[in-house]
Amino acid sequence: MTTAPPRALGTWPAIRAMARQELRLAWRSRVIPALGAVMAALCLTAAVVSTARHRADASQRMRYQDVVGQQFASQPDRHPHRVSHYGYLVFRPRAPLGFLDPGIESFTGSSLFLEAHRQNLPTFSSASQGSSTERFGELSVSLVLQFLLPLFVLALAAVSITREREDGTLPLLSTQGASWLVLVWGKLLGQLLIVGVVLLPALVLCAAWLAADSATAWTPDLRQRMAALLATQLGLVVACAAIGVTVSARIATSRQALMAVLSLWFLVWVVLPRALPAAATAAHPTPARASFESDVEARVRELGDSHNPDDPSFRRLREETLARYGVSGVDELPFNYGGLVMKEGEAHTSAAYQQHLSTLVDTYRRQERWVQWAGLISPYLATRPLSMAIAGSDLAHQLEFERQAEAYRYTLIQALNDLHMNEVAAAADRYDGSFNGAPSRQRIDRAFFEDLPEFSYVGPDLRWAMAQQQIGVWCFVWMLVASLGALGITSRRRWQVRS
Amino acid sequence: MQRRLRLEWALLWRGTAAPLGLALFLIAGLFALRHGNTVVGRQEAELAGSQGRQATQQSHILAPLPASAIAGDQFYYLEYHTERHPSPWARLVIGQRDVQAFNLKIRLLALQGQLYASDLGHPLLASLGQFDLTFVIVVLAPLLLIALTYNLWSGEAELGTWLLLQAQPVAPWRVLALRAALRTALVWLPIVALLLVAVVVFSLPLDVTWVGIALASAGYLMAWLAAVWLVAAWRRPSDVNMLVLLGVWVFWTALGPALVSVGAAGRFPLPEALELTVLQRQGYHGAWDEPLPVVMQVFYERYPEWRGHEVPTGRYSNAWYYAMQERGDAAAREAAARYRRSLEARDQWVQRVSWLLPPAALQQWLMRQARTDLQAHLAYLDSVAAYHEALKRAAFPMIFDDRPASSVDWSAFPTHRHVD
Repeated sequence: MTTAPPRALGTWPAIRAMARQELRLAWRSRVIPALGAVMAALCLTAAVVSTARHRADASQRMRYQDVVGQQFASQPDRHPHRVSHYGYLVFRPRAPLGFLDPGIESFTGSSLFLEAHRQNLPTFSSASQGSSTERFGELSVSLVLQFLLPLFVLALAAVSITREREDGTLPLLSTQGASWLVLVWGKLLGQLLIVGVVLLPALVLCAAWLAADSATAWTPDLRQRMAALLATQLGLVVACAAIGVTVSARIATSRQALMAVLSLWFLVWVVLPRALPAAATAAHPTPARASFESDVEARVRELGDSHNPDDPSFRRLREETLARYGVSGVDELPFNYGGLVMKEGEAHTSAAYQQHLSTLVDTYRRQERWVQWAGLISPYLATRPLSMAIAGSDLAHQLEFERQAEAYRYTLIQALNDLHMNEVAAAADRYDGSFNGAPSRQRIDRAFFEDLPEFSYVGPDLRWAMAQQQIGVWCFVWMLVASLGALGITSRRRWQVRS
Repeated sequence: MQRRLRLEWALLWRGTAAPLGLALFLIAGLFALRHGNTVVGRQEAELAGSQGRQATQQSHILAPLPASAIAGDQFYYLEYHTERHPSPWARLVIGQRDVQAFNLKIRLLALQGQLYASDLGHPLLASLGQFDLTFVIVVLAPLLLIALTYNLWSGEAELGTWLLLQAQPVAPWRVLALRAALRTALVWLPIVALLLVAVVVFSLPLDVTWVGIALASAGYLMAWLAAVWLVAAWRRPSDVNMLVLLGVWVFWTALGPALVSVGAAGRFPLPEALELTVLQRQGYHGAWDEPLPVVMQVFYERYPEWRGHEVPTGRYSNAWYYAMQERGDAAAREAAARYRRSLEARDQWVQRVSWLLPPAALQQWLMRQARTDLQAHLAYLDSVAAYHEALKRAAFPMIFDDRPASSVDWSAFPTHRHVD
């Protein structure tokens, strides 16, 4: 049997009153001050330590990038192919918001050597240098807010209604005319207020710290990313509070409700994030580096081996070139044929590498999808990829950096091969004792090298980052819809009169 | 005693929590064994094909060579594969093996440019961590223990049976101790069972290490039991106990180690990594612009036995080329040594601090036993450096004497195999 509640208060004022009451209770039980202090301490520690490290890393990489740039610009006269091997070192800049969410940054190399004939992989990843304690991640604001905070939110919300039931105040509420609608949404709002108050000191301290940290240049893109990160965080908290209140409304005792959300947290925050990668790598194995590289080499040999004088591809190149210029030998060409061979060889190695790299990236994407789609059942995994993408510390950003570095490498090496073709006389392309008493080939004026392009990484913007992370966006939306939807269905219940 | 044990057992097994928790724990353990086998098995398969790939690459380079080819010119292309074979325990403790190189290919060129690449792997998956048996023991086992023991004392009080218990002829604390022991054993025995499964399935030796791992797990659970006991002695309601123990779990297994790892990175920033890269490159390439005697002098300091050997001046020579490679390594040697010392200092610091956190301490200890930690990786890098040295010493006579490629027995070069 159901009773129609007298409408003493409008629905919205009643919800607000309920929420205020919830906040007052929490405050009185000293939950808020205690949790607030813990969160503030953790967030501030994380922010201070991460910004310090971020700044140290960033300035170190910038310094060495400058050193490398200067060294490159101040080369002596050299043979262009020597410069191709001298190459260029690029250092991956840290992600724009890497100090809030370091993402995968520790697991990717920080420096990349660009040279002729080969594509190197980034070296010196922090993870391989580390003494790994546990892989829940380094302490960062995102770890605190996305791993730990949901636990608190779930636990607090899970007892919000059961406690009333146990204290015998639930019938009281019903006689006061509060509907389930008011109760459930009021509790949700109350939980959000509690989280707001709990996080207030942490957010104020972090904001003050970031504002005082003048090293961060707040570009419009960075502001947008910051806003998006906050929105993501808010979404996660709302989803967790909604799940907690739903559980609380549907389970009889606080003990059971607490057990239910704690089990959920362990399953979804601790076990699933490890079990899925294991399943993903079992389903889509990553090739080992040595196999990958030997496959690339095999492909290069198929395309044409510049070191093999009988290679059909290079024989064809020679015949075509001779025919085009109407000459009978490469010595009679108006340019240095050796440079052309280098250029053609570079095109082959680059094409072979790109082919295999795209296969590798496909494998990575397939593996990642396991984690992304798990966002449908896990708020944590719905938030992680999105948060990293917004912070600029996900795989897509890393691959974009490597793509730009490779594009630069190719341009640079081919520009040097052009110099080799046009500025080095074929007759002087051999070593003689002309330089400093050491054997040397013809050197060209260093002014040529000053005109070469410089590498500057253009970080993609937030819109690009979101386009790369569409599954993450959809899962995140789904998480909000599903958790609030479940709460909405719960709110349509009627009071059950018990005997 | 036996009767009490039977009663305790009945008390425990009657609920759904214990059988369910235990079943899930065993499933997680078997999944972890399977995953460890996948990861390490793949590395072993890769290593098994390593010599074959090296031979293929060699034949592609050496087979089409004309009779006039000289041996010294070939070393630029020839890649020598190194193999870091896992210890038998790596399947249980993947440790750092997934992010460290295990199959580096080296050429006779400057060594410092060839040591520091990782293997391929999705960084996101790596960052989420490996689901190996270590994870099950270090992270999941304490949860099961907490679930079984959080209301050790408070449960009696809440059921109103505590007074009854005090009226019994046995001291109540003995009852509680027996209960705690039984429940801890209930977590430890599945671990032992999983370790035994690993012995059978992976044909591991049932040796001191095995016993050590089993005992260390027991000691680890005792540390957790001590925490449970302390919290129980505080005499709060069960729910509070559970939340406090959960807090301990979060701090010990997640937050504490996370703090340690940022602390280590902050204290030991390792700028030497970038420095040595820049120095090596500059040292080697700068050598092309230096007078021949200067370059050779640097080489002779390390390899004095070649001092009397004539190096041609008017033309390119491989002796000069490899002396320049040595020039690159010489320029980076000091920075590389500092880098190495910093890595070790950081590792030692982490080891020391880890003793404050039982999970981190156990993790470190297990990685040490399985040789999947940083020290094992550094030992592998040392063996690679020694191998590089051996290759150079084997190749120098051919390089300095400009021997024809056809006169060299290429299969007689040393091979590398390092077992963790």
